[in-house]
Amino acid sequence: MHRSIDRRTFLEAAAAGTAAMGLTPFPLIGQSRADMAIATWTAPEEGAEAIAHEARRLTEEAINALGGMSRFVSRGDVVWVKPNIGWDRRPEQAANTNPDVVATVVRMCLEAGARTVKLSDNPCNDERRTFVRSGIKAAAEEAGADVFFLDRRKFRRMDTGGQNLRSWEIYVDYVECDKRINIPIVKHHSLTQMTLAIKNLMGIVGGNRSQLHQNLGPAMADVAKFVPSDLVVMDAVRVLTGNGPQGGSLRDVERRNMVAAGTDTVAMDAWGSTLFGYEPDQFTSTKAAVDIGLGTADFESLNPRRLDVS
Amino acid sequence: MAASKASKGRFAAFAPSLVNLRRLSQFLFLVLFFVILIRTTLVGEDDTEPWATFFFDIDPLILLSSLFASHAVLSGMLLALVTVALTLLLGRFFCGWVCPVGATFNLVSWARKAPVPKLIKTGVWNQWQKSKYLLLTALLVSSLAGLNLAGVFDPFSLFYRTMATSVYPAFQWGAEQLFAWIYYTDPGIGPVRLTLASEPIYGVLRDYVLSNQPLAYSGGVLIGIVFVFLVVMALFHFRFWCRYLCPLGALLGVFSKTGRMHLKLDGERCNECKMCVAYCPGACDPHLAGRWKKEECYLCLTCRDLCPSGAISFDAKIGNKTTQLIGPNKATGHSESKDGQNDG
Repeated sequence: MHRSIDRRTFLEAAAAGTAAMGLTPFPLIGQSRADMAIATWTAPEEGAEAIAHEARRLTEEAINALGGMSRFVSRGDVVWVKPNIGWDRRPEQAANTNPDVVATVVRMCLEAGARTVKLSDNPCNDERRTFVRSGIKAAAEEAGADVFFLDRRKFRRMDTGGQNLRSWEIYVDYVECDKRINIPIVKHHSLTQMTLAIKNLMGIVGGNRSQLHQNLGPAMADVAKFVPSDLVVMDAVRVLTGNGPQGGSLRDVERRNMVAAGTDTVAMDAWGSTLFGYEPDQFTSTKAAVDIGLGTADFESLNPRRLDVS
Repeated sequence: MAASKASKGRFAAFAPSLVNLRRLSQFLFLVLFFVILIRTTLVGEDDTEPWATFFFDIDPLILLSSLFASHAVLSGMLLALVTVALTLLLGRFFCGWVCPVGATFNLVSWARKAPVPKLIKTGVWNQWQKSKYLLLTALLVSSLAGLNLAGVFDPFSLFYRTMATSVYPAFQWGAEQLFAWIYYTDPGIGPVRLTLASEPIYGVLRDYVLSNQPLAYSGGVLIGIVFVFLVVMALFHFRFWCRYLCPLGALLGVFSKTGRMHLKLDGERCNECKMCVAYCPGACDPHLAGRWKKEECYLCLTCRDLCPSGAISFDAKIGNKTTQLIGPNKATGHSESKDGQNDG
């Protein structure tokens, strides 16, 4: 808690200073600093290269609209980037986070001075398959991330301080890193209707994960509060509208051509759920997260900056 | 005397000799087998390396049984014709120089501790060695009828199955347990911790050898028991599987009939010590002049290497002409013939 207040104070001062010097790339004066940004691609084209370009540009613009990556990552930080690499699926099947969104975040972290960008996931399918087939390993490594498989021995039972999930096995290095960036993909989930940022944290949870599904939403809200994300980047370039979370059929994939970024995990999930026509606070994970004070489901109250990019 | 002689013969490592060349060849094929085994996991893409099927491709039993059962072969299997050609020329060199299963049973036999008279007793040819030809016949007849049992009885199938579903998962489990225990307890004195050594080792194992998923296969225990049985039997009869059961060995035995290589026993020099019989893996009766069983000989050259009087050589018959291809091991013969006589 202390750290976030300190950072906020510091950043406000820094932003004011930058603005005063007239160096800001976007108009800050007279406008409150954005904590959420939604970037939409206005002229979507077909083809892998066009989509990759779109994903990169949307990610850059969304994060820059929040003040750039240097707002979140300081020189020397160890950053953990957490995409969804859960399934043995290719990018076009939209079951894992878009690799170009992931790689862009990695690159921006390193440009902001991060010492190391760690990237891993505890997937549902064999990680040797998912890391390769998702395209994330190749893209993130090229961008400079340290992509590795989790070491099963490093899941330690921890006290989450939560009411729904008092203690569980969580990955030690994830808890101990300096900054955490959560990059989920917007997709359907057969059990919880959708899976977004809060549920994406399944990837740093060990133990008997199937047991968590008894009370999945609230349990994951406790995890999200125990290891809060400094930044959430939500990939809606392609979304999976049915047969989630694994998907497979291209008929269930829809291009929405959006990437959102924000500091409030709950608001990001709330926005994500509206993409599929749900109420912002419809899901148990969102409700539970609001109840425990992790954030707000009323994402419009954050005045998200909406950007049209092309 | 016999023991010292034997140990010299068996452990005279690194000396440049044909037997050590054969051991090197066996070792390299064994390593290749395990490299292929470990590399043939699904690492990302659906394709495996084209050489993943190498041992099956050079296996004429697979070629024949597939041809019989499905009237079709994969082009890679034609490599087996090279094995056949070399066997027609040389004999069962494949069993002695190439086969990783045979190499494994050779290693097992190293652990065998038995007095030489007993080794000689189990080392002479016996009728039961014909049983592998029965198994081969049954397998091929069954293939003709459409049921290809090579997947059960072929030595490479057996070895792959055992290693992949039984030994490898057990090794994986053991290694994970061991290194996790060291990691959690971290024994050591002051700044010198065991993890300083164990973690780099574990890192290499994790990256190159172990699967990153816990492995367990139904049937793994039963498959393991079958293999343990064969290992135990190899402690009583050298290369038990190869002598009595291996259908590939039997097939190569058939092809070896035309082999040009012949064991020649010099009756003048032989002192009937039977060291050759004691350590003959194939029980091909190298001590019986004129009754050496070519189809049981792996051309491992152990007999020639061990013969204290240098009485064993290998000839090549080309046309009507006989040429001594591998002469008697005179070095062993001259220096230690006295020992040999004592053994007799």
